[in-house]
Amino acid sequence: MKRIFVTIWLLAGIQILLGQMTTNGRVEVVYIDAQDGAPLESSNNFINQGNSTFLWRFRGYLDMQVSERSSIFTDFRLQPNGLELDFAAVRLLFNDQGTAGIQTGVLGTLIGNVTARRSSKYNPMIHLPIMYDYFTNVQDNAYLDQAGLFQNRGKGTGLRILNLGVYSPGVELFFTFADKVDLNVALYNSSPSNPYMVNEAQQLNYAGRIGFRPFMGLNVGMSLSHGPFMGDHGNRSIDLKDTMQSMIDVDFSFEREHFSLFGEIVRNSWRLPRVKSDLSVSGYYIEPKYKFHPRWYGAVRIGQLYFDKLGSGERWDDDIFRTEFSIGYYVERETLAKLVFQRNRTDRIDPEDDYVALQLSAGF
Amino acid sequence: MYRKFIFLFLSGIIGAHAGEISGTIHFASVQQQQRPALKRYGYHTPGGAMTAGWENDIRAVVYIAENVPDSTFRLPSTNPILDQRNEQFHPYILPVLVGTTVEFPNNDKVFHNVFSFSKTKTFDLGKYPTKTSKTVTFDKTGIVSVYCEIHSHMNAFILVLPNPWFCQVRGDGEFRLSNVPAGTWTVKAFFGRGKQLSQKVTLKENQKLELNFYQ
Repeated sequence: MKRIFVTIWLLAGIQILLGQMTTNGRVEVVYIDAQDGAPLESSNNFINQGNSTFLWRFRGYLDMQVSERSSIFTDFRLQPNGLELDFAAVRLLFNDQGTAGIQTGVLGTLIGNVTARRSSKYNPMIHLPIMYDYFTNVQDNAYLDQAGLFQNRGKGTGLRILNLGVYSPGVELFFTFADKVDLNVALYNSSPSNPYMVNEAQQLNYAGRIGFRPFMGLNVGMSLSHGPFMGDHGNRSIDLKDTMQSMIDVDFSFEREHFSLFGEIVRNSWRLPRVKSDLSVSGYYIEPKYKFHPRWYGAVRIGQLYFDKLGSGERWDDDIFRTEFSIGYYVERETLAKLVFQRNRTDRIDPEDDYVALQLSAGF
Repeated sequence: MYRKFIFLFLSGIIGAHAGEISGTIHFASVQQQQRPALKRYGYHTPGGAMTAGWENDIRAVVYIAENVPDSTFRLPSTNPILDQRNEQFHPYILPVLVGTTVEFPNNDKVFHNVFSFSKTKTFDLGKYPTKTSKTVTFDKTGIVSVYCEIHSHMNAFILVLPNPWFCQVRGDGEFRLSNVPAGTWTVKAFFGRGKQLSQKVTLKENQKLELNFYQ
């Protein structure tokens, strides 16, 4: 991945000379006032272990149009824990209309409708919808058994279902028919839940999405994904072909005037070698937003995850119900301030992981 | 069309004693509008290629800055248009007389969300589909920066002026303000993005005055 990044920046340097490059970026600063997370304070799902804190992030974009039909893109995050490369791809179009093409490199996921609006400019909340953000207790650990799973219920010690919109090395073909039907198919070297894994399973992740736009403003799509989700960590005694993640996702969005509505429904299963049943989870989010003044908007997001019961009759993780409320104010064109309240509840214990946060996001 | 109307209209009210200010703007830079951004993620939506002919878009507006007390000017019978095409606003600079209603048709294949936070006029038109239009009435003089919330590179200016002595200037730089009453006037050239040049002139009755601006 580092090699891809360096190569792309070198190409970028060349392109600067040719004047074909565009750069922009966004700085995000968040102040979070979280509730005391006493019962589960070791969970990844805790924004903070009971203290107020500041978080910051710089998001940089560097794009180049190499020729009429070829472009190079990068999207990276610089944050306190280091640099993350979210997208670094070369894209070739098969025709001048751009209705067919191929891209390869580190790609965003084609599943769902969140990837294109991960930036804090488009995300009305601070975090992503629940299936992109919430840590379950499935781990990148082939030795994890049922006892281990139950021990960690609700603790958020494992993987997300769709890790922040996924950044996976791969290759993707895309087509648009009659401006109404979109088709994407991709092969990735990792899975939606574990994009940073080292895949030595000799098997790739398959993914595809078909989307339909019956009229301007309405988008409906269905995505499928299947493939191994664990790295072998050097242990050759485990057949990684038995560690599959399979997913089906339906997404929809509607936008008109000052109103927008986004939503997704997902059904996801992981298969682990030491757990007899598949670990399945269903979830959804729905996100209406209304801009009631040129500078002001209000948004709500409701999301839930329902975990299946295993043979013992118990759910393998705690169902979670998350509600988020947001008020946003445009200080100026590219500077947005948000006040967000997030509330989390599970069916077994109260995670006491609610927060109030203020985010300032400025782009250039 | 709009310019022609202003000229005809002024011919009627100002009469034969009015003078004319004409000249050339010597442009320093070539491109005014930003290129459409590449679509990193939403690549299924139709692209915004910079179309041929943008060089011929409006690159400046020359106008007389003074308010004329106790005078009323007739508004245009058809609304001027700030078009949305190929992920660009057209024209880049639109001058209008205060009180004018401007049309914002969406002639693109994608949604736009036209808005402005300018003190002269704050508005947000929301998202509306192709072949539909919305209007805004500009009732205060000043500069209105217009943007699209979805496409960051889209930018245009509406210049709301106190009198009808203005004209749009294309790439050749030539301009002509006709039927300007005799008097001392401040003639300004507006290029967008806060760039403005200004010259004080005294125009006599029936005089034809030559003026040059160097950007």
